[in-house]
Amino acid sequence: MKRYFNIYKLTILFAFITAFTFACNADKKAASEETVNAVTVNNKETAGESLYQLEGEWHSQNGDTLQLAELNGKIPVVSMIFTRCGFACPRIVADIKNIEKQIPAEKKDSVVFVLVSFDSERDNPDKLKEFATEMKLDDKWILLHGGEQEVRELSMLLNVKYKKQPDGSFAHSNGITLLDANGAIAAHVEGLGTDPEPIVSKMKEL
Amino acid sequence: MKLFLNCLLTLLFALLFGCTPRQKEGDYEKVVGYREAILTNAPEVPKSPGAKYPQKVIVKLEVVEKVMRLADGVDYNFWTFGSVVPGKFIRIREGDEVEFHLSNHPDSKLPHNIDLHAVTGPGGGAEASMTAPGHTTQFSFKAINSGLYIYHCATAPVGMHIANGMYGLIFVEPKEGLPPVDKEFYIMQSEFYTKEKFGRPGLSSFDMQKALDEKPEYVVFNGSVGAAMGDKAMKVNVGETVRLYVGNIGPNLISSFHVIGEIFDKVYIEGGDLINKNVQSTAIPAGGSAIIEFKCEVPGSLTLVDHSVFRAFNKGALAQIHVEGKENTRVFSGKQRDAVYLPEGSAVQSITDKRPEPPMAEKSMFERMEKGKILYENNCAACHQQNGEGLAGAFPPLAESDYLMKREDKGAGIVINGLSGKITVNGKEYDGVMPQMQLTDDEIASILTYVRNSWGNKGGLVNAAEVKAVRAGSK
Amino acid sequence: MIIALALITGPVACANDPKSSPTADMVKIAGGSYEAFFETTGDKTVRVKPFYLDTKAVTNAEYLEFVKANPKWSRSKVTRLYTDAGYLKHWKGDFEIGNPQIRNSPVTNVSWFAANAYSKWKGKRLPTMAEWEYAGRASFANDSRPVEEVILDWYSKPSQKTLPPVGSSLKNVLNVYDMHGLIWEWVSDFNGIVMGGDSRSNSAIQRDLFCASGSFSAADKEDYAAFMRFAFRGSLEARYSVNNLGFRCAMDAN
Repeated sequence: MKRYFNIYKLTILFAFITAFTFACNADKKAASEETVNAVTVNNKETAGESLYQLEGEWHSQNGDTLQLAELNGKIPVVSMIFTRCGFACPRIVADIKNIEKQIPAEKKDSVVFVLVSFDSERDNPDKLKEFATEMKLDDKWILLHGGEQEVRELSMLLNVKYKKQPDGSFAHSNGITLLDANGAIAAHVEGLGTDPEPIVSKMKEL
Repeated sequence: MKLFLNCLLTLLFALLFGCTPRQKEGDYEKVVGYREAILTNAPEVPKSPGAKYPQKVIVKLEVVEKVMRLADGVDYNFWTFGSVVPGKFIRIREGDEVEFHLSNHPDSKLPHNIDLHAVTGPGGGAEASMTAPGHTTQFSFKAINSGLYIYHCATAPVGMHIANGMYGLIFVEPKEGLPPVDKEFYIMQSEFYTKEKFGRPGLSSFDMQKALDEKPEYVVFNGSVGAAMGDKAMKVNVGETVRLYVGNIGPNLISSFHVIGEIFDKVYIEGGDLINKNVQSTAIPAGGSAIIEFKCEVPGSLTLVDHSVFRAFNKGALAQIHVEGKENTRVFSGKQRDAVYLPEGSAVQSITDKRPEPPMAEKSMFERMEKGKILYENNCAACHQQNGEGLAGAFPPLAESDYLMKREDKGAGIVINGLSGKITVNGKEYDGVMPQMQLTDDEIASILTYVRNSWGNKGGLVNAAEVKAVRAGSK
Repeated sequence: MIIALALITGPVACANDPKSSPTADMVKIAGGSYEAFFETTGDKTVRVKPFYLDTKAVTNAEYLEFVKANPKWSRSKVTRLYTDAGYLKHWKGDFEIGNPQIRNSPVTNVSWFAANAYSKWKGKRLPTMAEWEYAGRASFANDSRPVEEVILDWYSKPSQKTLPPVGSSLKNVLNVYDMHGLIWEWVSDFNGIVMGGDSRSNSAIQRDLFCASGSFSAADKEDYAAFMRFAFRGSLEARYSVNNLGFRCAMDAN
């Protein structure tokens, strides 16, 4: 009982700090509680924020079955797309290729590019393979198909908004997210053709 | 736009990774040091920051949904910036870089945000400040243009968020400052659209149809009826110069802002740089402002009104400045009284408009006294005064009034039908007009009970049935 | 897994075959369609297949059972990835609600992830936005006022200090309680609001931010209650917990 009470107090205290501490006296814990757009997020002990806690299976363009946790130790650049997308998704791929050109030499081996499809129904591994060939994506690129539930959960973690349209296409927001070696979000940029500087500079620190 | 984003990024970096003020020169004046903005409640205005150079300014504002007074006996569940309506006054200097923190109280039912008309950027910050209950958001902007600006909530449905009280003023002082004055005040006009009629006691609620029809029950200064009247009036001394920062949020009506008994020496039209002189009334659009200056030459009460005048006398758009000091009969003789501008009470002076009467249930003495006091203050006190003593020569007293207490109808006939012509009360003659009051029998019974048992009167309970009988008899 | 947990925790109605049998506290909602509040140009009709919906929101007591069976969802163990610091802050402890008056009140201060995990554990799922909106359009069983008016009345009143029990507000003609006037509720695809937080700019959606054709506009500009729900969803992230935001579960009808 007493222990819980203390935890409760701590929680309240923490909430208080989060809500009311800003600017100069914001401590690091509080800073990590805030959502800061287009700004790199401080990370030290990030395992607790790892996206790899997400359960569920995914299928790659090569037909492999995998869990996100298998990316552990890599530095993934993640975005969500669907292959029938005519406008935004090819541009997102181009934006990521632009990041690819700026990867620091010492990170070349660990950085991978992950594209997750919104389209659980139609983007099966074969279709993803086709897309990868068409867009000239090499083996640094991992294209993932998952169930509706898994895709929705991942979109929540990446703060991507999307909605299936009556014609089977998807309205969606465009974002590119950098994960650290633990799978926690290290940086994020929003929109098409956005300056990827926050991602590139954070990559150097990881 | 790109520059704006860059500024934003730089600021955010500075925020996260240290406290050193930004040294960037760019197209703008150098920003030196930082301060936390001091915010004030109407009618107070924060002092000029007085800085010779732009600074980084931290502004923290908390959104709270809370029940407060809209008029005597009338409550409303306001949505507020800073637990007050209008919201806190924010004062910064041209070139300042504002880091804006918006917190939404955990008990809020709704998300809220803020659109500051002083912001150059998408939505005036609305999207960047969208805040769920129990959360805090942050964004930054550079105050490029000087002037007096509105801020308001822009969460859908925007009209309702504004109609419920979410607005205030932000003044971006020009870098050269404004000429010094003796007193500064913050006045904000707004409308309330309630299901209940003006002055009806209890918790009032928002009426969407009236808002769509642009037919408010209340038009008020500083968030409630009488917020700056009587004891709460603004106070200045003879010979002092006054500057009013006046905003009008609407949400629908344009204000014909006027001060009874003054001429505006200067009006900064629409809150900008252009100055007009010697103005009687100035139009303030919904979502707009004006800065007004005048010198108070003679003592007395100045009454601030929306000169679309039914709003003033029947919907609450009144405020007062009490000017104290020596008479100056060369400027003003002093014979004329401003009593004619006093509110005639909330009840509409109508002859034909019949309201259906709700079923009547008689009340206890205690209940009648309670309800009667509120009704009296809303409908009668403007003339007969709160202490029931009236105003000598103009409005007869009710306190220990022989005229009233000896009447067989207990006064009901006067309230129902009005009264005009010569009467004698406690030996003094009065020759005025009291309008018919459009009140229900039940309400009149409460008022009369209150009047007949206050200030030394001993008249006993008045029942609604008695009033009804008088009404029937007078037809 | 679900079966095993159900046995341990005892009174879980869906213990046998959770995938196919709705519980007694659910009601079948016949499919249908309605006009979308915000939609791209073209077909504005939203079609909803038949589904089962909980008649009442999940209560604190019910949620406690879930936490007991899944301690990783207790307040001190839960990951910050899935919740913010306000998670279950109105409870007394990890496995203790505290105030006995709120046992049957709807659980709030739960994140989308928490609501989603609870639903899965029950063999159910969260309703979609379309399903929720469809069920929420039904008129009230014992109140002739339009739905819209009842909702606006709710906003006119301040938040209650303690939430009343589930089933204490209005029942609609579909036999579903408390769709309006008690709490906000999570839906599975609340992040399907493809628009910014500033509703005034939605007439011309920014193509750079959102991949969607045509323009968005409100079907009924006077449906203030719908505006509010959309604004609320737009202000949320999936790990947020909010004082008056809870959930109920749904299930496919086939």
